[in-house]
Amino acid sequence: MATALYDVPGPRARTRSLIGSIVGGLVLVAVVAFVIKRLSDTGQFRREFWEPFGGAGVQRILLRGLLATLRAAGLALVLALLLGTLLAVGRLSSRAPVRAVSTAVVELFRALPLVFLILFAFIGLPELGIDTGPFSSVVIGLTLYNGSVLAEIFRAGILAVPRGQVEAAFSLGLSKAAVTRLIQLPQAVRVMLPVLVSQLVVLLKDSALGFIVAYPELLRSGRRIYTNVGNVIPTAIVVAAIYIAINLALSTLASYLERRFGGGRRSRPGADVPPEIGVGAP
Amino acid sequence: MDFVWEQRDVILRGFGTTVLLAVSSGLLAFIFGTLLAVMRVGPVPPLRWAGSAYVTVVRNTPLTLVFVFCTFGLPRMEVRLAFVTFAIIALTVYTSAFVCEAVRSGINSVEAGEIEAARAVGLPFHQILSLVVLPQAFRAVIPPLGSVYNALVKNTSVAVAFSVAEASSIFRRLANDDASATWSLLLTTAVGYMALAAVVFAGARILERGTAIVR
Repeated sequence: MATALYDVPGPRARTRSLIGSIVGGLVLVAVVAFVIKRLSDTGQFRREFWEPFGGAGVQRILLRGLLATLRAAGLALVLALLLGTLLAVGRLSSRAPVRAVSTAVVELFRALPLVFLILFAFIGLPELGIDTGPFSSVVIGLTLYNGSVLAEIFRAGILAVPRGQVEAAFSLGLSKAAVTRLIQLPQAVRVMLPVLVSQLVVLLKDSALGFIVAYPELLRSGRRIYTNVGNVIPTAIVVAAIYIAINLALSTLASYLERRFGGGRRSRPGADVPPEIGVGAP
Repeated sequence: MDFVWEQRDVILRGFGTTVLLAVSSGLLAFIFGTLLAVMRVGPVPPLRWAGSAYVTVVRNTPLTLVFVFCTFGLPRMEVRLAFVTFAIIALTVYTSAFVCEAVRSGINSVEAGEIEAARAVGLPFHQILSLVVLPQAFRAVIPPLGSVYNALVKNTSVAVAFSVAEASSIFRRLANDDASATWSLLLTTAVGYMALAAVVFAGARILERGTAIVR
């Protein structure tokens, strides 16, 4: 525990920590001041760089971008949930070939960069006569990647259901499918909910990769603004603030769900799932 | 496949750039991430706040946006560097936050008794950290750190949109040159990425086994 790292401070320790606070604080202030000075020296705080964000036109562009981001992320989430469930059930199947195929699919899509999956949908699929625009490419990429990540989360969640539950269900004469559907999944979903919401944060962040294939999501809309006005840094700050606000709201929801459902018995469904990190976990 | 074979040097050079991005930003992110983690568990409040603010901001920002900031934003602040350097900076800034969180969870996994014992024998904070906590934390941290680095290798591909000739942008360029070779290029690039992922995975495994102790 981090709290064990230091004692309730005595007078000497308090002096030392005060000195540390002052020195550390000064260093931080110096760093921040340097960055701000640099920003203002190069004119990043100019009125004409920030004024556009007050205008209805720019706000509409950003709003439309945000909606496009939410549309892509939302559709990808639904499809990824379906794919993830399918793959998780496949990996837990009692038939060896089904298990092997699901495992291979999961490992493949987890090993490939999301950018590459989006490019695969954008460049590769049209070669096969499947017409994919920027929107479908982003959704396909996000679905393949997040579907396989979710499959691992689901699998861990299902395995976290106590064995006794499954054995009791079998002894009542339920079929394997019924056990999965009626006993394991409902309990697993409860435990997985927080991890699921944090994966949604990853998905939302990753949708910014639509930038690469010119899908007009939030970041791309920001590009439209800064190529016109020339205010790269102000636009990046505004767009980042929007992403951070949404993601913090989602994280708060996740920790609420964790408290609400995860408390009591500490079954950690995400224990052997990689920590949430975007693009292949951006 | 002939086209792929003809272009093997170009493709290999692309993966070389991918490895360069991953290794250099991986090393830098390890240093900064550990530093951030120490700041976040340390007794100095301003540093603690700065550490958590950094992690909160960076973890909730898309990597692509970090790239936009570095590659297009920094030149506006009269920082002029090569595109590869900008990419390394962006990846370092982003990955540091995740390394920090992995290391911090490792520090928190060290038993309180160990730390209390270290304090009882009179070690000061920096020695508790460097002699007792961090060596054990790094052991616990290898699996999560492994997935952070696995993600880093994949994240290098975001540089595709920022004028860096890494594996994915080589794929895009070559597929543009000869559309009929698209699928063989796809397969080749996929195999390359999977090989890199396998190297990271195996490295983490070896480290994990090498540092494991029987309790």
